[in-house]
Amino acid sequence: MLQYLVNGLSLGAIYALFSLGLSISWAGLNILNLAHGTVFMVGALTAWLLSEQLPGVPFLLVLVIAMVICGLIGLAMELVVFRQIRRRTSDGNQQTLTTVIATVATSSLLIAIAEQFTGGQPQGLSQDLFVVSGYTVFGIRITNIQIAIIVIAAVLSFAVAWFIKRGRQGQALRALSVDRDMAKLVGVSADRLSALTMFGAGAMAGLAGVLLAVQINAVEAHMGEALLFKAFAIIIIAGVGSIGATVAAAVALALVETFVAAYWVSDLRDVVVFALIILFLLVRPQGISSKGWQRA
Amino acid sequence: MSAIEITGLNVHYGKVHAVRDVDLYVDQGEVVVVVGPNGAGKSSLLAALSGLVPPSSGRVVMSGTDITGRPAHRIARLGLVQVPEGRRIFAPLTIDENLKLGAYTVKDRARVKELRGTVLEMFPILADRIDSPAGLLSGGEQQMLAFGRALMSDPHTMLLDEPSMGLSPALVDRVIEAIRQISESGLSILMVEQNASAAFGVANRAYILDQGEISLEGPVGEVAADPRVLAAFLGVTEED
Amino acid sequence: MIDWLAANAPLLRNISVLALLGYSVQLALRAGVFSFATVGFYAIGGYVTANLLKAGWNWVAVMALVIVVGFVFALVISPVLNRLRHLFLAMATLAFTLFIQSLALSWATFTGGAQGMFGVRRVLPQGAMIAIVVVVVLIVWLTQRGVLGRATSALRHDELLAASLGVNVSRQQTMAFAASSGVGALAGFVQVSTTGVFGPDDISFSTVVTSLTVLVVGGAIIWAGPLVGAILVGTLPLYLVKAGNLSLIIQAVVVLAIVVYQPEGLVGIVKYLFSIIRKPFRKKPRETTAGAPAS
Ligand SMILES: Nc1ncnc2c1ncn2[C@@H]1O[C@H](COP(=O)(O)OP(=O)(O)OP(=O)(O)O)[C@@H](O)[C@H]1O
Ligand SMILES: [Mg+2]
Repeated sequence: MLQYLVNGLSLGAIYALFSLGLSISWAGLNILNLAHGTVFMVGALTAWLLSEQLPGVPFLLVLVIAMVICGLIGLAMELVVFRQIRRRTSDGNQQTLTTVIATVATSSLLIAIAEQFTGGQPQGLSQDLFVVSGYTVFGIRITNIQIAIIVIAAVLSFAVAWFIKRGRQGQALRALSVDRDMAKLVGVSADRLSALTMFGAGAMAGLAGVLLAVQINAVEAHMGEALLFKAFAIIIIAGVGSIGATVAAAVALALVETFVAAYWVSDLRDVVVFALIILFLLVRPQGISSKGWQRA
Repeated sequence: MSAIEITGLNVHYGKVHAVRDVDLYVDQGEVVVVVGPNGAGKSSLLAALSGLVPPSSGRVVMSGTDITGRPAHRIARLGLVQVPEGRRIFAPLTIDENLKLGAYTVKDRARVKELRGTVLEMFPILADRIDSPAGLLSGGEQQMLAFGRALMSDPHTMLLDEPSMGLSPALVDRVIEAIRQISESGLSILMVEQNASAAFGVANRAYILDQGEISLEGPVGEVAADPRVLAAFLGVTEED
Repeated sequence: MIDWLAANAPLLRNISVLALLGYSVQLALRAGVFSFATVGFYAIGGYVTANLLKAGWNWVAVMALVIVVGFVFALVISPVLNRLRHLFLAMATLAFTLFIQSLALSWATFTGGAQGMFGVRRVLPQGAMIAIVVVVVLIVWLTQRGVLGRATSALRHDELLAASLGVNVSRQQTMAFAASSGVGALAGFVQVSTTGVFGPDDISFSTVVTSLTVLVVGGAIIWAGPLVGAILVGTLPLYLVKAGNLSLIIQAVVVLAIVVYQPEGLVGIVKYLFSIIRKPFRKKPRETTAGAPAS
């Protein structure tokens, strides 16, 4: 019982790291980034490639490189795609839609590139990259990677929450979300802040990718899609842009999944998640139909 | 040196020619009003000054610096601030956060504190509700917040887009009083209005903008006495 | 002609399915409904068809039933979707598709699990397949004209305005969504009844990408868009096979370029070229700004 709690908690921590970036770029920039799962996969892929090419590379270095690469992908999306669409389309509806479609295309581009490396097959991660060792405390087995995941996610969640609530740039991002032109008029560089946001969201997805790859010891080009589904559920439950609620929903969803798989039927996990999505869409459509940061 | 000097300014939106060959200046410490009907191009003129819309031709010089075509956030950092049409406060953010964002370009913390003190003294209503969401303020209070937010940037020139819009006569007086106060503190002000009678009360000089073109300009007294202006903007017909 | 049709059967089949997928997305989109549910309904249509044909049903009956299933299913979930707008709708419908994908893997008794369904009778005659596509194109074309067309176009641009013009926004959008779902399910029917196989690979994320590619390459709003897109997306891979995986990369880059730089798609480009060619013959040349075509 407690064992599942620990497993669910570490899974929830990954969900949280992943969902936060998705939620913030949506709330702040009005971008539903359907390539977020693929950026996550690129994080995992980077870890795998580095450990294959450079045996014995320090784990921390891998973590940093993966985060930078994924951050740069987010940045590139902003510069090459989103910014161009913003410049060219003034109609808000069309801009939003075009951006979503562009993220789908970006996603397929990244998957195609990833498959060049993996050959379309799932790949195992070298055990040397991170030596997983377990401890048993009060009969519960917990591994060092699980501890690392939970600690990293907790620290980052607090940092992000502080940044959005109190940070100068976080405040500017919320202003940007409400009224992009007005934010420019008070001196906010909308372009730079958007780039920063996309970089941060990408880096966090990459971090989550490396951590999950180490935990499940596998890398696969389509591994981000399942996570995207979970993140949708989390955002629907928590509302767009609310940091605390997102983390709580991530952990809750992971726990529910873990317990369904443990005590019921493993295959029913996604059915339960989808049922939750429908349930929350039914009970609180108002809560989620306006963007979190735009409600007075 | 003028606070603002515009020469031959044009603004296009696709095929719409919103501002046509406008020449206009605002001297240091002056209050200048541009009066024009709906769709005359008043907001477009201000948008071209503050950098939200790139002018298709012409020159904008601010205190000797050519700012034509610079991005909005750069222009804001040079001390030009705009209070836009409809106030555009950040409704979900608190009043405090709105004011802080106003001072986004001010690096010196002590100066921010000083500005904040001045603003809260000028508009005490803001101090009373400093931590409540700005969207809950009434229309008049929101206009005060918009002024306050603009003042927080420590500007030397302020652009006002229809500050009296949607306000009751009493509140219009309050707004005009605020503008006078701001002007007395040494700022240069360029204001656009449909409500000519209120605006003429504080302005030194006036321009009439019609379908994108300046049709008349001069000291307020002269412009206000022009029969065309009397008829179109002050509701007085010649027979009277 | 007959020979050519027979020789190119796989190509035509491919184009037909792609076109139906593209029209399914377009039907929703042009009414302002950001729906990613097409592939989910494609999956439902495909698996239902596979099971019924295996049970010995007549294909006409299966086709009718599949369309009805798509329609009814859409009407059942639309009360949930009706309250959602824009990105929330996109997310919820994509969640639906991802869920159906996951269900297809785990509900093996109905779907054949990871292997999928195979050995289904390939009963759909080529003529009937072409007729299906033609009918769908005709319906899309007809509903894009006149009062209905203007109403849907108003919905896309501004729902409040549409409502003030007397358009019943929620009913129109529900109908658009149901039509989109019906056509999506129909695409699944055509795929199964012409190839005899259907499995998780047919409904993966890359199908979502392909359906959007078809739409975007041709032109998202113009009625001919998906057809043009389907022909291009269906034939180009024949020339790109040598490039292997590279062709996927090329495809993605092309789509990105079109989305960003030419949102009206190929049909939009052609229209623009026509407008340039015709310009000298206009009686009153109008002042235009150089560069991109006016939107
Ligand atoms: N973003 C835009 N795109 C296209 N046309 C625009 C845009 N903004 C303004 N216009 C057009 O430019 C012209 C001038 O508009 P502008 O908003 O500057 O007028 P205004 O004098 O501020 O009017 P009001 O008193 O109603 O605020 C109008 O014809 C308007 O339709
Ligand atoms: Mg205006």
